[in-house]
Amino acid sequence: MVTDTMSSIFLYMILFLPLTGWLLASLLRRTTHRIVIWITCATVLGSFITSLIISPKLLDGMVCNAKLINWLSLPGYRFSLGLMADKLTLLMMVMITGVGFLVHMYSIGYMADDREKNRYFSYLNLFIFFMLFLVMSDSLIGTFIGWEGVGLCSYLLIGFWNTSPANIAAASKAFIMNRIGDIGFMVAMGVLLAAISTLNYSEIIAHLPDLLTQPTILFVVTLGLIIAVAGKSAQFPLYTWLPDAMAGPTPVSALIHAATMVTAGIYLVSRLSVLFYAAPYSAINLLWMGIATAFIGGVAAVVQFDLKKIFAYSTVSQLGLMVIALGLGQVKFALFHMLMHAFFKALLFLGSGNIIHALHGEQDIRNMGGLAKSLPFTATAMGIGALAMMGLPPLSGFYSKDAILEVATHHAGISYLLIILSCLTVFYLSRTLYFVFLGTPRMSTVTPHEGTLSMQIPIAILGFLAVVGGWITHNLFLAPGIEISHLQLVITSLVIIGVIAPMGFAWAKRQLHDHENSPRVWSFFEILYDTFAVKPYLYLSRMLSIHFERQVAAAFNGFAQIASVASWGIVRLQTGSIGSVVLFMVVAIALILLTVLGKFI
Amino acid sequence: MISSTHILILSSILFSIGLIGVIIRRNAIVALMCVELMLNAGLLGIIGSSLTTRDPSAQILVLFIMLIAAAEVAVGLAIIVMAFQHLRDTDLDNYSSMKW
Amino acid sequence: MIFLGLSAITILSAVIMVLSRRPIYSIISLIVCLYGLGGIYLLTQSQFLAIVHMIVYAGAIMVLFLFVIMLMNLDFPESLIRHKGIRLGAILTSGVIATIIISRIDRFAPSDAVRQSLTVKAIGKLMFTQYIAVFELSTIVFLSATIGVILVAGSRPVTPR
Repeated sequence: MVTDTMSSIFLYMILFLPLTGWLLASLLRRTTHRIVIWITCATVLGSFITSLIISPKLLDGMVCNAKLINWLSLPGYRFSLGLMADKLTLLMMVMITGVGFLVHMYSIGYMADDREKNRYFSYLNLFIFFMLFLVMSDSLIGTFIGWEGVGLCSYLLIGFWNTSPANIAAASKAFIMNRIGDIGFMVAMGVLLAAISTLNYSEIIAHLPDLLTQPTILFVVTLGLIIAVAGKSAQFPLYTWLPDAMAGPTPVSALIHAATMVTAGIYLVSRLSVLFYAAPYSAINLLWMGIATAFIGGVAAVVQFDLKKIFAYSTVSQLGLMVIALGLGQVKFALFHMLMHAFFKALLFLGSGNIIHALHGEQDIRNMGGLAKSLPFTATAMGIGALAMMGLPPLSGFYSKDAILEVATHHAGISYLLIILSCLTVFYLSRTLYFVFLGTPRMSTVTPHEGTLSMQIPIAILGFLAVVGGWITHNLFLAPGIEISHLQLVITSLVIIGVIAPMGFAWAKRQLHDHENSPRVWSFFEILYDTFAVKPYLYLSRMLSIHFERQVAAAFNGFAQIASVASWGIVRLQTGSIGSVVLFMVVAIALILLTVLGKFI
Repeated sequence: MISSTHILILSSILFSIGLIGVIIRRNAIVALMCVELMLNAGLLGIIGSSLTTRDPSAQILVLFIMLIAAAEVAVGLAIIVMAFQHLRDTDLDNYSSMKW
Repeated sequence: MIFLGLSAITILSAVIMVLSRRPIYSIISLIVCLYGLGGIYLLTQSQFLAIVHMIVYAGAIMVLFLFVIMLMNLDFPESLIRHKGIRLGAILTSGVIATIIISRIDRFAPSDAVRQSLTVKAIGKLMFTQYIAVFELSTIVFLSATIGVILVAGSRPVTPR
């Protein structure tokens, strides 16, 4: 623990520069856009540079601390907010501010025609502040404040175009789903407080021996945190908000709903990983949650036609993969994949932003096609991003995904699941690429054109990182003790890409033909793939939908029936009249008074 | 001579009357007035409790609460006026468009 | 004795406020009620508070209510109440709360002790030394309330979409 002044000043700078940017941007909301844009971009860049300056220190294994305030002092408990930075924090800080800056820069071009740019940029800065606070806090309570703050900013930015009811509904959905997770977080904090009366990370970890004697408490705490993770990181039962969250502007989707906020759950588990691995059942819960999420996301991405929703589901799937890595006990691999994912998914999102911008808001991939000719830069960038995500060696996704795959080989069934998952990834990505970039143009609008320079530079940087990021950083994450049998994995991924990608193309082509009802021209390979891959797949999905989905739907309907019958009495109480609402509140207060003041008369 | 017990009893009676008013009245302005009455009952309670010690801090506290209450009334009335302009109605039960 | 009379006035006017159908009567009776409260403050020898209460609360704030009602023409009689059950419930719960508090009143009001008059000077001294920060902060609250009111009430009415 080091609290030298220099590093605490750096920490303050990293945290508070974006806040300053937000304050200034909000105060200067009525001024010209240029000033606000400069301020917000400059503060985030400053934050990024500061975290780079402090990085050598942290990489050496030092832990920097900085005091903020004593928030609340109660007998027995003291809630103080402070900052702490170690390697994990550094990774998050660099990722948040780096991707954040690129997205700011991209937004200059993307939002050029929007009248409320100032509001947009101030929200972005506020988001970065809360996200930094989330990762830099030295206690769960500070993380929780950041956790709520990023939820708020996510809500504000999803509903940024607040004239459409659908956007507002999506924003509310995201907010409410996140609140469900937050309940888990609060329960975990409460139980921890009751058990060891501190929420400070280092003190929690110091209290681990005490906690180990009370496995039930440990289980409840980690379960609560897992629910929180499921909410924020869009895991299995609570993932549904993320696809809807695509109602926001595309750069926001890239920053919040792909690269940073949704990784808060991964951060939380990594920060308290000792707790999770000590608690009974927690690791296995994480593992199964991740598997369910990864598969639902992967399968859903295959059938989507909305460009952004495809990437949203693919984000869900990749987050599931990170949680799988966490469940397997590989925190470093999860973080590695998180960083790589931030690169290539931000790249893919910004690329799709380019397309949507060029097509004036068109998001349906059935109305695209042939864009490789008119948008060569975007096509190259997104091709790189997709290849990186598929795990083509030696692009970034290869290192991280295959590290996870390598660990999974020690757990028999899981490695097969992961290979199927990679096939799914390759399949939907190639299908999407075919729809968007190949074939004949199906747009109704005028000729698309590439975005401005400020939109292309971030894409170029992210593209560069997606190519070499894994190669540069893999030494940081993959400890020399862990051997990765490269050759085998290289062959596996090459085979997967080589076989599955044409299938994706073929399926896309088939869907297009169905879509256009034009006569089909089949080549030999297409027929081959059609018979051996596409038709079985369609058959399988139809079977699943008939036999499986109906059962599931019936089961869920049953639950709904039970719930609605059970809630009938409660619903009758909910008259919507303010008087009755106040009356219930007052009745509750009377009951509390009765208990607090002891015996009646 | 009055004792703090008397004042506290008066305070709780006033509070209950205000509470009944908030629940049963539908007019937004009257409901706000009832809230004011409840607030005043609370202030009276503070004064009543401080009678024994004569701590001047209690009076200062009451003064500050009055200040805040004044601000609150101003904002509340502005909102009611605005809502009235929207809906041509002061019935609280009809202010339901914010309900989800 | 004075106390009992003042209490009776206060409670009676409070009841009238709740029960009268026209808002204007409610306001007038609330003003009476608040003046009664001011009298009780005088009885407890909190002179400064009593004066402030009468001028600011019973005077300014209530006049604000009156103005709003008269300028906006809001004074139309209202059928008193909705559901019978709610009315009954309201009276019952409020009664229960009052009974609870009154029955345990000794918890809140310890036995009486010394009583000296608190001068305006003492209060002023305290307010501008120990509580100066709070005092300044409350001005900021006022400022933001002013801005809020201007924002809310000053904007043109929008037709509901």
